[in-house]
Amino acid sequence: MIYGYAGSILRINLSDEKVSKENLCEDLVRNYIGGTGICSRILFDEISPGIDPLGEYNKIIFGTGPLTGTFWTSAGRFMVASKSPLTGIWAESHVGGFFGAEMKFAGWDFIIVEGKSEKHVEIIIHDDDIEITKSENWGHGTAHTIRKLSEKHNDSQVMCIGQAGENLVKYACVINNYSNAAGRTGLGAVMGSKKLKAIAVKGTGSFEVSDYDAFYEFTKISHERVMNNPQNKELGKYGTNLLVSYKSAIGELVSKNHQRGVFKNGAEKLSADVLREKYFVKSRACFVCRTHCKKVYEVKEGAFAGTISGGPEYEGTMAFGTNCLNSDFGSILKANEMCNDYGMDVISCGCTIAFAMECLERGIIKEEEIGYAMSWGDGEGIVKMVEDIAFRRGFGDILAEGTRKASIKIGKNAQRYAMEVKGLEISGQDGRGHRSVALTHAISVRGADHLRSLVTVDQLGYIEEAKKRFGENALPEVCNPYSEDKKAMAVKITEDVFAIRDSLITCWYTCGWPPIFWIEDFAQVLPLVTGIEHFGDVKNLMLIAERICNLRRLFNIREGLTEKDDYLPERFLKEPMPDGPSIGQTVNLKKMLNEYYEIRGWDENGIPRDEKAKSLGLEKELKEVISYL
Amino acid sequence: MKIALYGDLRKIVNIGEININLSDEIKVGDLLKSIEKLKDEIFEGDNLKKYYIILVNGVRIDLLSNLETVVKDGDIVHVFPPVSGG
Repeated sequence: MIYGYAGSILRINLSDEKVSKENLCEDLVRNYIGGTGICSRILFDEISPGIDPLGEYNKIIFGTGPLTGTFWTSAGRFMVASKSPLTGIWAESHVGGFFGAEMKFAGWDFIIVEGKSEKHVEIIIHDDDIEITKSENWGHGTAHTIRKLSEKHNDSQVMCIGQAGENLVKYACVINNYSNAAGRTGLGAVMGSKKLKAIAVKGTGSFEVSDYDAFYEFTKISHERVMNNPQNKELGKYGTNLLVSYKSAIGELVSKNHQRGVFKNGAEKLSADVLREKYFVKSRACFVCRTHCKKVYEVKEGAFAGTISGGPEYEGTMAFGTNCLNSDFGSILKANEMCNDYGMDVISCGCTIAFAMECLERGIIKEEEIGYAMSWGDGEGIVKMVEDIAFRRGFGDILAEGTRKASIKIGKNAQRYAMEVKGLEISGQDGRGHRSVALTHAISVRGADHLRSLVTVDQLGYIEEAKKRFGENALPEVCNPYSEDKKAMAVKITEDVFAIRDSLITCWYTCGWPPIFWIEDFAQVLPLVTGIEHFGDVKNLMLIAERICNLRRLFNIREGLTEKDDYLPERFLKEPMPDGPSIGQTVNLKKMLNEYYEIRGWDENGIPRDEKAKSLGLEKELKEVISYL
Repeated sequence: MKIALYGDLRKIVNIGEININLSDEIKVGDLLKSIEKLKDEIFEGDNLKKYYIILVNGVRIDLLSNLETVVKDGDIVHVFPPVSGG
């Protein structure tokens, strides 16, 4: 028995409907902990390079960690991993809600779904009882599917796709609890390709932690730390939307397809204060969470009156709002709600539409090709296009492929305006006004992502946190938003710590921002949960973190990724920020990238050196990957 | 010059923006302490409370001269409650 884990992996092959139960082995736990760590091992071992992400040989994993389902604060997180149909490389997305905890109560740490069904199906899990049934919800949105399955199966927790996943939109997502999304990298399309509409799980069991009394005491303290944190209070009230005003003030508010860092005459209309006052209905929370950052909003008047939307968070307001120069909250809430129900990633969807708007402005595409007006700021046009993308109608069929593939198909130099890295649309940050995130976008394992290694001290300037996390010598450069100095080190450390966070699994809102927990806390809590003393040493945890980061990198290299894929669009490198406080700024990516490779122990091609692989026990894996080059 | 407030600070001070005509330059710390409700909320003695952020013309004051940063007519001072980055 391994404390902190349910102890079993459920494997379901949809081609032959074979269901098997495997033991979670202790070696895997000791070397990779859980969550992203164990998924990195499984996907590296089981996915052959070059397979079609939408074919029968791809696999999709639903994963938890040792903290999932405990009463540790923010222990409601879980994850989904696969090979991405959007990027062709590592796919991973973390999500809150209740599904992960329920999985563990049902006795499963991981669910691996492989093969491909011939008919539309749903997987119904009640503890050890596993059923593959014909889907009665295919063709319906996520809200309908969740409601129906939950009612039919004894208040089960449900993860499902909407019509976008069924239609293989490349950035379709997986939804639970109506608006909690495993949003990025197209995991919904992987489910759709397997004709898997949903998984419903009901668990009546439990699992044990190693030292209950000590865990209980430390957990009490952890809850108090969250409750007493002033940032947590703001996050609980406004969600992440205060960022709109803050980013606007510092000149990092992503606007006009990442051209600008301010949204003149628009940002104030999209502030957290406006959202709270005019649209707020109630707060929602994930399993055991004290923050309650998820919000429900309602549009009460105007063209989109009647819309009730879970979210948006800052990224949704950015994607359908500032990045499209759209200051109409009604249409943003509508587009966000449609993404929840159709099951689409709001960042990729909104940013792909922003890309199309720039192409329209530059005459690369014509309004006749789209069939309706969709110029900058056109909220109604955005809402129409969200629907067309989900159902792959007209020009929406092209945009459903994501910015990179759409830009190639459109041609006429459209690629120049595709704001993506490795095929993933760039999230709502701008390295020209927040330098560390330029490197984060360029090197992140799943593409232009902020969540794997977001350093916030050069954005917010929390000097004490910077000292604690990166050392006194990192100051003042690490807190300077316009300097490349010390950023590679900060990004590398953060990426490693977050690899542990994502293996536990716990929420980033308590360790990235607000800065409540860090690696020392993980080293304290893990032995209490698992009984594995080896986890109590920060050095051991950081070694495991490096192993995870390097194995995910090797997965990508084996798929053909090279150092040329660690890039940023020229916009960030050569187009000086045109206005606002970051005016004139560009990014010197090469300097940060070289330093990052060096600190990581990678060669100039971004490949782990022999000695690095050896120190992590990954010599065999490196050798295998090199054999493919 | 203008002082812009966000989040709960708007409720506490009961206004989103404060416009002030400044005839002389003034240190930003002194300026903000002169607004009673704001002083009570964001300062602990002479120091800014942890995690509150002040910007002068879009630049964090820790990159300038902290509370000694001089402001003049035409400047914008942003005051943020604890913000979670991202």
